Amino acid sequence: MKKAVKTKAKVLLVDDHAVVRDGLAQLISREPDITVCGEASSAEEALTAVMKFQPDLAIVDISLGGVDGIELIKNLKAIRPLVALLVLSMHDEARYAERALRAGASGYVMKREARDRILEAIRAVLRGEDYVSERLQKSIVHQYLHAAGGEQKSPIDRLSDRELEVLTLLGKGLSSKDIADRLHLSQKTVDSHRTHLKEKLDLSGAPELIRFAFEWVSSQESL
Amino acid sequence: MLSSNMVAGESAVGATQDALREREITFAALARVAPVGIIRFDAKGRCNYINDRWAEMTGLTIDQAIGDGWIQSIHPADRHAVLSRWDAMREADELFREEYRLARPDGTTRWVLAEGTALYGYSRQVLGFIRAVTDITAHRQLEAELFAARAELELRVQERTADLEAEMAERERLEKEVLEIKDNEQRRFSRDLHDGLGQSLTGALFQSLALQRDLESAQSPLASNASRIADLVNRSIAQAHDLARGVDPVPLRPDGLMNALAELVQALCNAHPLDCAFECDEPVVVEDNSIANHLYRIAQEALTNAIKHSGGSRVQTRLERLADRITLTVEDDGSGLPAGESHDGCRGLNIIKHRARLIGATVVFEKAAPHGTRMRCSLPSPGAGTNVEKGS
Repeated sequence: MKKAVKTKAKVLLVDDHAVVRDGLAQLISREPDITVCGEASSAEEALTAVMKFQPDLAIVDISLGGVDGIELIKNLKAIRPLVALLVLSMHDEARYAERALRAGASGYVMKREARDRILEAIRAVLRGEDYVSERLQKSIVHQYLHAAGGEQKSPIDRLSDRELEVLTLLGKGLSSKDIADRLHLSQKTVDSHRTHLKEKLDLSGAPELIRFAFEWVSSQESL
Repeated sequence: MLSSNMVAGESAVGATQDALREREITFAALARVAPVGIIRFDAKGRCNYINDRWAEMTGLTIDQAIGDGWIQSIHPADRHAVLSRWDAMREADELFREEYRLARPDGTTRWVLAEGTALYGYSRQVLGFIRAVTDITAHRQLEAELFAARAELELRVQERTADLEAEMAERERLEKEVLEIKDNEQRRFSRDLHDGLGQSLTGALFQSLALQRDLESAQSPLASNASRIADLVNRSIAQAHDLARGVDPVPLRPDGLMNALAELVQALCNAHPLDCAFECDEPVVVEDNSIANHLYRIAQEALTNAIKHSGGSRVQTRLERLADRITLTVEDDGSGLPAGESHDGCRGLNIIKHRARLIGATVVFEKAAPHGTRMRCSLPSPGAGTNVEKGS
């Protein structure tokens, strides 16, 4: 990081574990371009701190003593849209990253991968980029869900209204038969919609389609 | 009475009288030695004879029994019934049997079996009646005792059965509780790993990275030591994460079980040279996390069995909802289960059966075609008929 920096980027640490905040603060204080401007150990503290310290970036643990971190991300983004949010979590990215990104976070780093990634992630997010692991980037769900906001046309947009409807109902736990009943279609028609969905979304099988559908629905709900 | 025979002459009359006398004597002798009480009646049903045994059984003398006196031998409670049957029998002209009680003058009661018949003359006119009475008190008593004993036995069997059922229900409840405690404990353990150990290690990781940075700035050769510490700590975080996940594999989400099974199959697929497939054609939502966890463990156990013991090359896992039942199938193409004998996988099978029982599931192990084993675990869909759809 040889980039000349006039003013250091300000980072707010939000984690209910002091030991993590301390360590991260120690690490960041060694960096020439970033500085820790404040710390918060709860969601309430975080909301106050983000106004008080006006950080460029908040690093947030999404499991704040049982509080829903996704909710906190939405709230932080709501009161200070300019702040970049990076999630640092013990939780598997496959389970939470999509939801966190949909809620407004720009990056997701699992603590098990923090050693090699945390500084890289901080800088990427500060540059205005999104940061997730290569593995998650490869995830089709991610590509589609995340491309939806950008200029690139998401395959979701390529779905017909009917297909989107089938996808949504599938993601709410309805079987093909349930969907056929609900939409007054034959089960065969629903099955052919499902086949098209798999093709358009490039999903290899039924479990992948169902998983995608659930992710899709939960991402819509967390908007 | 004998007037018609008078014309037959002196000697004929004499012979007939001899024969009658002889019969009279024979009857008297028989009546004396017979082990039954004998009472005889005239054509009008009035007592005109009792033997000694009858007198002994009833406690009545001939003087007391004569005419209608015998009736007092019948227990008052049975008297009406016995007399109406006695009248009916005399009308109907047939053999009869009946059981009733005697009430003796000494206040004791005895059960008797009475058998009776009419006595006919030469031209089938009724001469009288005779009843033979057997004391069946001991027999009745035995019967009653036997009956009581049987009833008692039945009652005890019922009580014991109820006890056993209660015991089994209690055991089942305890087993469920133990497993639930274990699952909760594991969840707590998982949380502790995440929130306690994982966080401390993360803190330590950052500290060692900072230290490494300091040592590098000071151009100290010890920087690589700090880097190695950071590596070790990093690996420990990953281990804590894997441990936590292993003990609490099913996330609390509607699609938690589907995803956890998909990940489980994927992980096994990566770790073993087997063709593992996960099939789930329709969404199967299990809202009850305890049920989801049990199903996951059942799948895990069945897959482990298939991988370790089947010797096959393919394992297929299927989760489906059919006719309001959730069915989990794990099928391999191996050598099949050894029939009847105990084998290594036995413990695994028992765990599967046990977990299945706790969530009210049925589980069967059957031969798969052309070869292999199929485990099918099925339970009523908890939310059968109701959609899990939430407002969007």
